[in-house]
Amino acid sequence: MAEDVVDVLIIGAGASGAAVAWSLADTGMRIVCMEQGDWMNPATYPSNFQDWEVHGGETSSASPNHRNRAADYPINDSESPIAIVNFNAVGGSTILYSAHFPRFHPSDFRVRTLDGVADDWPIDYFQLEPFFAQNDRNMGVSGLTGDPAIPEHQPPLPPIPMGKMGETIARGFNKLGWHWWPSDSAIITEPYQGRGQCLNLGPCNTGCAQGAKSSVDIAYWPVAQRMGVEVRPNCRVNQVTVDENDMATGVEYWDGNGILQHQRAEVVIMACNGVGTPRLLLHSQSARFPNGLANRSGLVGKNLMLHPWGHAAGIFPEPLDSHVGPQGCCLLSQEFYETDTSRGFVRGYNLQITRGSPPVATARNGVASGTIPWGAAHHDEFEKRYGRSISIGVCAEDLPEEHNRVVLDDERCDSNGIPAPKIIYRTSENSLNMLAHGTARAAEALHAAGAIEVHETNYPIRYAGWHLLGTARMGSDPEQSVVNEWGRSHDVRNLFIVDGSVFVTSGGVNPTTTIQAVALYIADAMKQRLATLFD
Amino acid sequence: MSDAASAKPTISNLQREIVSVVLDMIIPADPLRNKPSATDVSVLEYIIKRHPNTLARTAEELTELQNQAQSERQSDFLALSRESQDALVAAMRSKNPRFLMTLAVQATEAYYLDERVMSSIGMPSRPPYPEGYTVEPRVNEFLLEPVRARGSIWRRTEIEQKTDV
Repeated sequence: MAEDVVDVLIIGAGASGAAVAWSLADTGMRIVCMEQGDWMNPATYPSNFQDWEVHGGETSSASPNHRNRAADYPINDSESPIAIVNFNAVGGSTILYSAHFPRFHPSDFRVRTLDGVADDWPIDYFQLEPFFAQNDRNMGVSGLTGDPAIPEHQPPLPPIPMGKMGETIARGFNKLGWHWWPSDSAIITEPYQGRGQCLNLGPCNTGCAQGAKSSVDIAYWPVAQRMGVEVRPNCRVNQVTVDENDMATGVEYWDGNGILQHQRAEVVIMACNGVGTPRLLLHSQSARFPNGLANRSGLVGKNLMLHPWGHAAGIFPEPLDSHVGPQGCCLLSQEFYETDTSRGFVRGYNLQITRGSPPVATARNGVASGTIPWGAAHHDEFEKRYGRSISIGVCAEDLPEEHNRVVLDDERCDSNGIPAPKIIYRTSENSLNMLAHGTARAAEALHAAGAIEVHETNYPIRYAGWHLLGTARMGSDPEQSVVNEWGRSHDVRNLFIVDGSVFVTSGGVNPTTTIQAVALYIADAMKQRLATLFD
Repeated sequence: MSDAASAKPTISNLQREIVSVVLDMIIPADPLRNKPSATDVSVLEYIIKRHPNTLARTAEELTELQNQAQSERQSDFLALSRESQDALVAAMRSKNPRFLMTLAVQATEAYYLDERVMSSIGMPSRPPYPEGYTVEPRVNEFLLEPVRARGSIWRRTEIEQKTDV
């Protein structure tokens, strides 16, 4: 019997894999997506339970090393001040993300031209604009038109409620004359495409029981499946196979029963993001590619960018109800997003204003840090903090540096024996200067808004390695990049990469919407060239 | 499974009585706020269920308290006045800030999961889902006026400059 051959095989069912599958589905090609994790069951998410703050369960930790589910692979982050956090399931890390959804700016694609650092992208914001808009519709994005910090766009749904806390911090920004705006959020504020609207449950980062947060297992995959895409959960790819003509022939993978199989494919698309994709490429060694697949440039795994993160929190004198509402989404400020070299660094950062802590976290953190004492004063101090705090995260643009990289670990493996990725990363002086500036400005905004206490967190925050970018960069020069300007490998003409690996620079915002816009753009480019795709 | 692995964590009656006093030191009742003492919340049951591996260390710390009372005050801890108990615990925590910290943090977790406590801080005793919570208002447009008034602040690249976007 002839071996089964699919037209397109996508590796990874997260943000980018879902977007590319959806876009390619209308070609009528036979598309299979392999995902090492399973489908998630929202009935198991903590917010279904009264003890949700301590409930535990599969989604209770963002660190794969702590979570250690069968679908996870360990990550050696002992040589990085920032630990990698992610999730492995149909939906990928969107299962746990906060759904804060700001776009890259036009300037993010032109940093060499504008600021003389890093490199320009081979594409620009306006090429991506229709794909941003399409992705907003597919995901279900809430926001307010007219943000002066970004080119005009129209989110399909009204914004997330600011609440009293949002109004309070907004007044602080106004007092300082700084930009702020209600965040674009991948959370639906009205019933949308069969999904129920946000109920302000709070804990978006352990999975949304309501399904209002637009994780791609609910926003993209059901539609793609109805269009004929096949999702194969619990299938872990070992390596991409190639022939003597440098063409990918398919993948070797462990199926749900732990049996090693081979799936042939005409096209292979990598969608495992900035750590998973280089790991798999580096592990896909062969006589033709002894240093890893699609790695003749030597750049696979290099130029890792992580968005070093800072944080400040303020306590306010009046109740703000800040303990309820979608935790990671409220407002943003992009006052310091664009370069001003008088600040002591190039490029800039986003301030992400998030809500306060729920009761257990408020009390536990206070007792552990000593800000809430033992004895009768416990109640006074708890009351002073609970529902009265506002947090500001500092998302610093990380510039590409070759020494920041993903390599294969010499010792640790996943449950199938595939070497774990190892992160070798140093926070640059530019990033540290940016975090110092950003944390101080966050504190300034909190004081301006009336905070009676402000606490700045040491930076970079360790468990904040959500944004995994740059490890298979896009470019027109095969010696300086891994994929071309439409995501095709320079070395393997039927291999594409559509995730955050292809980013040339990191911007200073949460990257998911830009990752998905790039994935949709690459899918569209593929469709435009179907007859000459491998030329 | 080994005996050690399968054994349920245990705590003696004396340790239970001491922990009862210590819990009231950590979070005493507040009648004005209608809040119970941590002593009245099922802290030990919570620890045994959620953090069983930490119980042995906490039990050791409670025994340390008893030993310290005997050596320093020639008395059982429980026989001391509340003021003396407070002073002894404060002195031991001052010497070692980690002393009884695990118990304090776990007691706090258990406390704020208790229905009476939830009710006293205005939170309904139910899971967030499916009822959710209300957050008002949506967006105060008045506050946005100065932001809009500044006009566009995004940085133009050579592409927009050429095409006058």
